[in-house]
Amino acid sequence: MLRRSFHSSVAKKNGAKIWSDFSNRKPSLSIANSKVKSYILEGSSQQGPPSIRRRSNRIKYQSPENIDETFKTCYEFLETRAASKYAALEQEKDASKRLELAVDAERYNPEVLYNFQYNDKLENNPSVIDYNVPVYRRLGREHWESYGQMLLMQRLETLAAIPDTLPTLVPKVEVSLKFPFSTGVNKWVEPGEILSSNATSFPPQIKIQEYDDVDPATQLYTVLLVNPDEPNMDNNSFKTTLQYGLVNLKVDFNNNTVDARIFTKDNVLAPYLPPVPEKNAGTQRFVLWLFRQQNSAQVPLDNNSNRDNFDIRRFVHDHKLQAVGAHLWRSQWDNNVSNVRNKYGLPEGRVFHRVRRA
Amino acid sequence: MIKPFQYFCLFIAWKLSHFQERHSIPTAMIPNGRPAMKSLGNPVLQFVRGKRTKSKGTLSPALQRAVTQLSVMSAGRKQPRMLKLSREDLVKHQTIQNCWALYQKELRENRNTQLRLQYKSTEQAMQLLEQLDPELFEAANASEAGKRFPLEMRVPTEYPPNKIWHYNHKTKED
Repeated sequence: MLRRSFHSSVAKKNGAKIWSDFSNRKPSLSIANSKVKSYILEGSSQQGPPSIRRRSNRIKYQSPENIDETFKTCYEFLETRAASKYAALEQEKDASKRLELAVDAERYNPEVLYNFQYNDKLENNPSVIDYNVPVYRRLGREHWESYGQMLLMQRLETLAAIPDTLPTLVPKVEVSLKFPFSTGVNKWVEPGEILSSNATSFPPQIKIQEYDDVDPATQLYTVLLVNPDEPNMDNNSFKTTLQYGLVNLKVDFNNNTVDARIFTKDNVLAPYLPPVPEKNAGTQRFVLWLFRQQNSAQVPLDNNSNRDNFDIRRFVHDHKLQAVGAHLWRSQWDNNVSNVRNKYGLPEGRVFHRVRRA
Repeated sequence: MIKPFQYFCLFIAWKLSHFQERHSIPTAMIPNGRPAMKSLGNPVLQFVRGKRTKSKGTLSPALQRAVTQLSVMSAGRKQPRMLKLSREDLVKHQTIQNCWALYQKELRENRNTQLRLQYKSTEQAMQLLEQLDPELFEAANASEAGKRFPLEMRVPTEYPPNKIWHYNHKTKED
């Protein structure tokens, strides 16, 4: 007994208020709302929890018994452990171990938990969820792996984007797609959704959320959008066309939506061609691949690759690209396809029949 | 091949015949309708189901009412009511759980390291013993399979005895 009380008091002196001293900490590690913060850290107030909006519900609400006392003990315990992690972090030289320590020091911090659980993780506010902070990157990756990553892999495999475009994918980067224009659907597209030709008539906004500990200043990315379902009458088969190609992209951990604000003409390998499936050609897959470029090597912009009959595997091999993320949607022929063709100056589409005519 | 129900009927008939033999109950009392001589000689393997007098089991009326009410209720309402925690309290609750898990993890790791060290030191001692005295090593490693309780075990005490060894002890001579 004596020993235990002695130990805890020593630890308290050493790791005093490591989570509450914000002189050297990022503001995103704190709860922005002062009422909520004081309710969590300083105990329940008479007015009830501030997250409940209606006053009557707030008054009716009853916290579990003794939760404040228990929380206080636990908070002190976790804070001492975090202090020891920070102490180890100062000594550590190895980068991967430093990252682990930085995550472990903050991952049980109730303020971090609150911020991450109750705020938008995809369209994050950097003052609340700052993906520059290792712990938020870790939480974000765990959140993605719990659903989004599995959904993406399932869709890629059931729709046979793997292996029809590339042999496989080890997903590391979360890729999200949106068609933000007035014609588009104003939401993040779920992988494998069937979109109308009107919605996809303008280039998509691509969000590249990196969770690994890469250096955003030097890491370059390539984005390729391919359609492996273009009918090829010569071979009685299908061919792959390149719909959109962006190279040498640089993204931050937070500011990472790829649209005209981020890239210039120098990044465009192939300008956007909207999906214009021909009548009776069936549903076509539009697979978007994201690659990390090795050792900050630039991909040249010379357009010698055949866009109409694009060999994505050869392109990836030639430029030593590492596939880290993907996304896909599907398109079919609809009444609006001819309008989109007119808008982009494309030739009139073919109509396929059950019996092939000479 | 005897099915369980047949087996049960057989068992009852056998029991009844023995009971009658032992206590010499007249066969008329047994609801079977068979002549006494026949049933005494060889047990009749026939089960007759009487009229059901109680509609439902032998539960008391109050308990029976509770059972009926529970059977009417849907399964969802029989669950304990879900805890409704506000966001703040949920985060507090998660912190408490994290703390407990971390505490248990530390205990577990300490215990494991201690066990590992103990095993290591035991192993070293045994290696030393093997070098010094192979006979004692064999004796220490003798198989104790099938042993229930070590009769030669010393009664555990909190402290060693004041007098460790009786140097002047002599065995009694008969």
